Amino acid sequence: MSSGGKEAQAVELARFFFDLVRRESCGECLPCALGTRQVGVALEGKGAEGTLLREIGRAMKQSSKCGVGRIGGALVLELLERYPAIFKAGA
Amino acid sequence: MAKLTVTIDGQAVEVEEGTSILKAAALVGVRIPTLCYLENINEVGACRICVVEVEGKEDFVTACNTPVEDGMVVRTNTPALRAARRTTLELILSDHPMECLTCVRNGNCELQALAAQLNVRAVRVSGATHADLPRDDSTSGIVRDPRKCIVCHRCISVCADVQTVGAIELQGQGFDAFVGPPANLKLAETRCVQCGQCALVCPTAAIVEKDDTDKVWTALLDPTKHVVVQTAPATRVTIGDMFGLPPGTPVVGKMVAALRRLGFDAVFDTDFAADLTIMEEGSELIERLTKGGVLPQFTSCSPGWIKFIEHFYPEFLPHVSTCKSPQQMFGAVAKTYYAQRQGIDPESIFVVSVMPCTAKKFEAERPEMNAASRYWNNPRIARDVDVVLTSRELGRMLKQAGIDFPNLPDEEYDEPLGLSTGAAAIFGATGGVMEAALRTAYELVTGKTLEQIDFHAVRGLDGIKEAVVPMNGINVKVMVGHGLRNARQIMEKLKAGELKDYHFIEIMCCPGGCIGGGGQPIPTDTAVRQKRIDGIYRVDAAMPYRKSHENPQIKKLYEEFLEKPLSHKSHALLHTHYTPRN
Repeated sequence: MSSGGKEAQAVELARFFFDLVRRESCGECLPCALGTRQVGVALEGKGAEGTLLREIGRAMKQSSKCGVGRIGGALVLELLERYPAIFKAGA
Repeated sequence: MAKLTVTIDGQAVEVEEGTSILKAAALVGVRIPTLCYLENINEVGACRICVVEVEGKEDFVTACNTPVEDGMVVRTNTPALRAARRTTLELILSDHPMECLTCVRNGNCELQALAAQLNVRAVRVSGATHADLPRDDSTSGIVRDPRKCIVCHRCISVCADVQTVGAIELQGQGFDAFVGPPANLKLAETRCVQCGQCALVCPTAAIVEKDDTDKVWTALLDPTKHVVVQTAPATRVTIGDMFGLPPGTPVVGKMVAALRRLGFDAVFDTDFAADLTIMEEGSELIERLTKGGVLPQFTSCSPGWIKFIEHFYPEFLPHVSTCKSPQQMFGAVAKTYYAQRQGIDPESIFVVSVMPCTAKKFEAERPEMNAASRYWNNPRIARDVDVVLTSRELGRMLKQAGIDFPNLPDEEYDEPLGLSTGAAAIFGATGGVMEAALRTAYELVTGKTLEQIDFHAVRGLDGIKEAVVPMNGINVKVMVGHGLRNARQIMEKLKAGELKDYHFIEIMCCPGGCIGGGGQPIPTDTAVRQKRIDGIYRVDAAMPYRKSHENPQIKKLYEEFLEKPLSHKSHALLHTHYTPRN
């Protein structure tokens, strides 16, 4: 983990985890396959934010077929709760 | 089976163990929205639209494939569910081309209908899409547009499980996943039989029939062409579906009237050629029986089945009747006998077929289907059948022409290729070719009149049906299969030597036979198939002639032109050969 503030570390960790979710997403169920990609875009600061991202996170967490999408969704909700800025920074 | 009690949106209902939440909800009048679900075929829970809340469970479950448990309390319409469904649908729509106005499925699209049902008024998600996936129009019958694919898995399930072909699969992973042939092959490079069952179940327009309507409009306008049309047996109970008539409504007279209004020079019937097929195929069977030919003989009307056996069981091709399908017999007869009889230059005759089938487009393009060209020794006569339209394409042409189909008067087919029998009509349903063959073979073999002409044992939607019919001391054993899963089962039995005492086997590629063909109106499900089958047998029962050999026009065709079944001329025009594709 690189140096920097707690926020920066969280961003890096989030990206790491999300990359994992994205690579594990099989494509069999749609909230996970499509949501994971949208969250990935959001993490680059280019996609959905705020309410919409929360809805995507919820759909992933509650509707996905398996743990990959469900954990991915929970991660989005957690990040929005604690570090909402990371989806806007684009950093 | 044990009975379970489940409460759905406050209403208790008793159901059998194993019932899905979706079906239990339907019993109390709750229609849970679905998208990828297709009863008995695709119950994979891919789209997650049918999610519901179950008391005691933190996450949602899919109603389509979750069996109820005793005492389960289910809620189907909470704010959280409405939000989740809408978000999932927005995600799906964000990766779907918004081309509804120019889409062939406009007005008959399940994705469109669901967006309306879930009250989606904006798609807020944007960004990544599959818009760069290439269109695949490599086959004669089917066009894939993976941009419009929502990865519902229906086509994969129907191709793998119902047809056991497996030409298309899920490729790639995660967001990059898409449906297509493996290794970036084109569909034409796979063992796809072009049955079109994938197009029939696709909720959007990701897989559709190849549209050949423009070729027909152009021919109809060409004053140098004598444009004739033939209508397949199954179309007479399905065209009405596209004009709001109940499934299975016999509409043969209206269809004839409609085709005449489109401007065809003559409106003929593939049923005429179906009667001809019975004469040739029945005679072939009798010859095989009496001269020790390869048995059991298999039917050859269904081009999807033919391509299937060419790919998967080529070593058994000698079992397949050498008879062309009725469509191809018609084309050959139209450009030879009809041309000669009417004094029309065969080069100017343009034959259009209306078929329930996408594989018929492939069949018409098979290189060997140019008997008229060979007969007249004229290379400018290209194909025996020039264009094949599916039922759906004809429906679109009739709408485009503003024809008020349900209110048309009933009209009659033209002579001489328009007269047919009830035996020909039932070609449209599974078991129909067999029944028609039995009606004729019995009388030809025994010389006696067949009193009970309805062979109920070979009718209906059971996957494999059998009958034994005594004829002159021989117990003729027959078998009927429809859908390629059943065809494969029959072929495996043949391979294992279990069908040595069978004489005649009918195979239809599509479930239900041609009434369930891949070119038929959407939706086509089991209930619709049954209604169409009922309609076909009503048509049969009302026909003045119900045995192919009694068709006076067929007798005339033999007297004036072909001489007799299996004659030299018959072989040249009405019989064919097959291509091993292993």
